[in-house]
Amino acid sequence: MLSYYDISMPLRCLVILCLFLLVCVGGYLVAPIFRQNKLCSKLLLSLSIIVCVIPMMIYVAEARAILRQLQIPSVSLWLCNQPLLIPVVIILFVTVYYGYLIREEQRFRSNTVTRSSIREGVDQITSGLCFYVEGGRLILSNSRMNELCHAIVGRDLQNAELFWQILSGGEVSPTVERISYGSYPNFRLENGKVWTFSREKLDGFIQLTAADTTLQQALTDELRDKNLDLAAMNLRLRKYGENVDELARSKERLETKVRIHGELGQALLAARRYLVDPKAQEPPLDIWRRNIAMLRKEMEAKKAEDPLLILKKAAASAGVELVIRGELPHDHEYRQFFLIAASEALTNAVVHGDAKTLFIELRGTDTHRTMQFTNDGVSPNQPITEGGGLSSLRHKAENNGFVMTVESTPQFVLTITGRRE
Amino acid sequence: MVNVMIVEDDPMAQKLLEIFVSGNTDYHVAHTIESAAMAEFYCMTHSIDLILMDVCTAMNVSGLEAAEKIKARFPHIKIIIITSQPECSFIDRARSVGVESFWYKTASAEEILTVMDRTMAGESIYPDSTPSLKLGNILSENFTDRELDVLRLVVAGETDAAIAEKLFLSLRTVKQHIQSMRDKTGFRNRTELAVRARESGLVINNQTNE
Repeated sequence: MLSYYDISMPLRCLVILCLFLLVCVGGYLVAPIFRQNKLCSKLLLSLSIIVCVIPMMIYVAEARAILRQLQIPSVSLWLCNQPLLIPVVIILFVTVYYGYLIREEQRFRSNTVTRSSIREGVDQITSGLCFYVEGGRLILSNSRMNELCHAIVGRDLQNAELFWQILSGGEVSPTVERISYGSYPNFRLENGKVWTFSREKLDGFIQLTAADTTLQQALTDELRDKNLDLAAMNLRLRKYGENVDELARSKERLETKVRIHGELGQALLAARRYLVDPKAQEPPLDIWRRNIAMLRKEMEAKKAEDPLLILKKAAASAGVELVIRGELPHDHEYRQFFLIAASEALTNAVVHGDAKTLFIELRGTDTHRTMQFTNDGVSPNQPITEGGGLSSLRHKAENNGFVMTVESTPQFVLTITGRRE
Repeated sequence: MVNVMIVEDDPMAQKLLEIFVSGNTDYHVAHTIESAAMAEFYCMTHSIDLILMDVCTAMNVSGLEAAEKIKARFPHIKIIIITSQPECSFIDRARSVGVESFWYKTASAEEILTVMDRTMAGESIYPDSTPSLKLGNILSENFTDRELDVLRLVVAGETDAAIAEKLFLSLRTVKQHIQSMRDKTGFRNRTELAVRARESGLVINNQTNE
């Protein structure tokens, strides 16, 4: 029967090469096969590696002895004289077995959830995902989260807690636009995508997620722009309303003028009749006085829109002096509210405190402005209970976004503070 | 002699009322003020028997709100609300706060003096109805009370959401009311409805005093 010695040197080398390749493949299969709980597979794999290694070593020793012209080891002589069928069968059997093992391993990988399959799975998620423990040590994070970390912070994700602190309020890469801080920070990246992060504590782990909210952000931006337009339109409507009030007053004045014009005509006719026959009637003085008074008023007609003047006039009528420190802002709504608050303070000063002087202090900062009222009247002998006027004033103050405080001791102090618009 | 206080911000209307009142020997013009904000103060510090008060006074202070305060503290003081605005809620509000009489401004001395005399004699004089106004395709009386409430806030420049919150309605209901008013009037949009309603004086909203 044909033995190993009967074949040419190249064929011998081919046999050795085949055995070497099978040993390599066997070595590669050790890790996945030994990870599985299949004793039979483990034994067969070990055996197949051994049956490949031993003849390979023997054939290599024989070849080495020939090349170096040394004495061929006796075991090599024995094996090389054995039928060639033995190594060929070994090669064929092991090749078939390895093919089977590789197929089984592939089937196992595709049907079993392994660490790498989890890893592959989370990497497939389009959102960013990261699990870590207290202190920031990573347990699992997907490639999207790593990309985001790199884009936002400028380095790889190594400490998730540190990354979250930066997301919540730290300094981010200059190419990234921060849209919001806090529990759900979101960012617009250089590519225009908007990502929103959130953190949730799970059982023993902390989950950090990042969702692509580009579309939602675009809709939010659009809604904000529309709301701004609407607010501007509403403001214009409000201003328009004020103008219409003035228009209504003008129409009213015009009707009065028309009436006066009519009366003036009557006065002229009456005067003419009187001049023609003075004895027939009394001189039409009343009608002339009325018309002249109206015409004079028309000349000086100016709307009293200065709250300080209105207040001074009222205080003077009751013998109360006003001491004003500071300047009243020109903001129409603030002036309106000032008059309401001042009228309440003046009423309280006179009715409850029998005051002769009302002190008004108007002060402001860049962000806030304050009006404060005190008087020289009798101080309250018990804490003031707000009712009627003060309660109504507080309601209005709060509706207008002001903060109102009332102090009873050592004297009555009414303070109203509002943000500067 | 009846002491009369006039609360009117328009100088010309003020003067006209002063002339009307002082032309009658039964009345004495005790004070003329521009803003209803100070009306209660004058009542406290002066002897006032009758007040002629406009609804919209200086610094946007409502005469009706001042009237409510005065009637609560000085029920003996008689009040006549005078206005040129056809706002439909004014009459109801005046009645609810206890105002004796209500008069739509005219430039006739006789009319106001008659109202004053009858009011001082203990009568309550109110117009039978608010003046009817045409708004788009319909008359003002074709609006429901709720629609007018909504329209008042639309005119004040409030958003639909704010209107819903203020009137304790759902946003959907507010939108339905606005759509209903647009359908009735034939106005193309919300803004046109608001502008035309404001121009007509059908609804007036005074933000400061609400």
